[in-house]
Amino acid sequence: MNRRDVVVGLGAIVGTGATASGTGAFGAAEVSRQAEIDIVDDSDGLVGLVANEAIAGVQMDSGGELTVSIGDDDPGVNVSSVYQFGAFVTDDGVEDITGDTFSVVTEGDPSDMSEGQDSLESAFAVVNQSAEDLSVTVDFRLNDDIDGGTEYAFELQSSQSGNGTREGLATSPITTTDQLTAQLATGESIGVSFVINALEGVVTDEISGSLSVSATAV
Amino acid sequence: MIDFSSTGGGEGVNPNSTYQVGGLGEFDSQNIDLVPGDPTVKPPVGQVAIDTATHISSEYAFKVMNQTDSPKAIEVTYNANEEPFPDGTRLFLVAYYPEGDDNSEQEEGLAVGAVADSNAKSASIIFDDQQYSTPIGSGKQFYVTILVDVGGADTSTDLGGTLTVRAGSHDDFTNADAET
Repeated sequence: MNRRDVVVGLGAIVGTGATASGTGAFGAAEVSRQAEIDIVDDSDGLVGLVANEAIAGVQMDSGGELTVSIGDDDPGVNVSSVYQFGAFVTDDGVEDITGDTFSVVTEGDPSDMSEGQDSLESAFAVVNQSAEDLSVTVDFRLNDDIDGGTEYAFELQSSQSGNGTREGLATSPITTTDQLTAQLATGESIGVSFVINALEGVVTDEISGSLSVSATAV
Repeated sequence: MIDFSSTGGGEGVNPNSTYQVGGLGEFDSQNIDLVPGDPTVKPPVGQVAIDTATHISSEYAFKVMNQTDSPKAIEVTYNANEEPFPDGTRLFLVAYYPEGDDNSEQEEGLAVGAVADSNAKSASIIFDDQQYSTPIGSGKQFYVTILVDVGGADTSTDLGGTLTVRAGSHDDFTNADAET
């Protein structure tokens, strides 16, 4: 997971001055205020990165960061198989990836986080957990090292005002960066789900990637 | 009160992230790499900031106003609850005083945590009759932006602290010139 950059505008929190009667003169003054800043798990951040607990391979690591790890030291995807991680909004454009043997699971609003894990059907979600509207940009980079015929598709989804929308679809081979910007009110979210087709794959096939999230108060 | 939790459900800042409250848009593009400190700490604000376009006078974390009828020396310090900060984790408070004569008098800052070459000038925001600084005029104000840069620190790490504003001839006022 790459860095997460967030710009938040709070406006004036403190107006500190010194006012006295008459001339307003004083020799010295001191005012102290408390600041509370805690480092928390990605799922609890003002910009929350939430793993779907029901999806294998998508999890929080020991440092509190969202990770997607399928294979390597974790259980992977079998050769001659198709796996789907999280629901898609639509299967349009994915039929060629999944072939005739697999039907893509779809949901109307998979990245809905209104009821937390109970309503989340995406593999993972980026959630506005601040008190103000945010313009959120998700920068999604994929690299593959595929000798066999493994294919894949990633769907970027948004959940806004109770509606699920496919915001982008990236299918193999991916050589470019996909970027999605969405304006999210408090509680609204962006989700990512993906399908891997290893029917023609070999055991050394590998897909790696990174997700960078930037957010600005609007 | 400065509080990075939210009624929206967020409880703090993510590991491996940067959060900025307020803009740094009026900062001189060269001088932003010379704040804070004398000599400048490493990294300077300019290498960590993520919004150098939004004007600080329109978006800021807080402002400090001299509401007396004479110029005042003003210092802002930040005493962290837990020191040292974890590796790669730092907090900047960056100040802008529009009425300063030049960049060096307008732009001040302090750094806490993982910066190299810390010094008296980088430990607090100082507006006083000192080098690269000037007192705050009557009825004038300066704006402060907060920058929190989190490395791979453990969750539950407390970056909070006490923000103190001193004004006038306070015994604890820092004389950075005496230490350069």
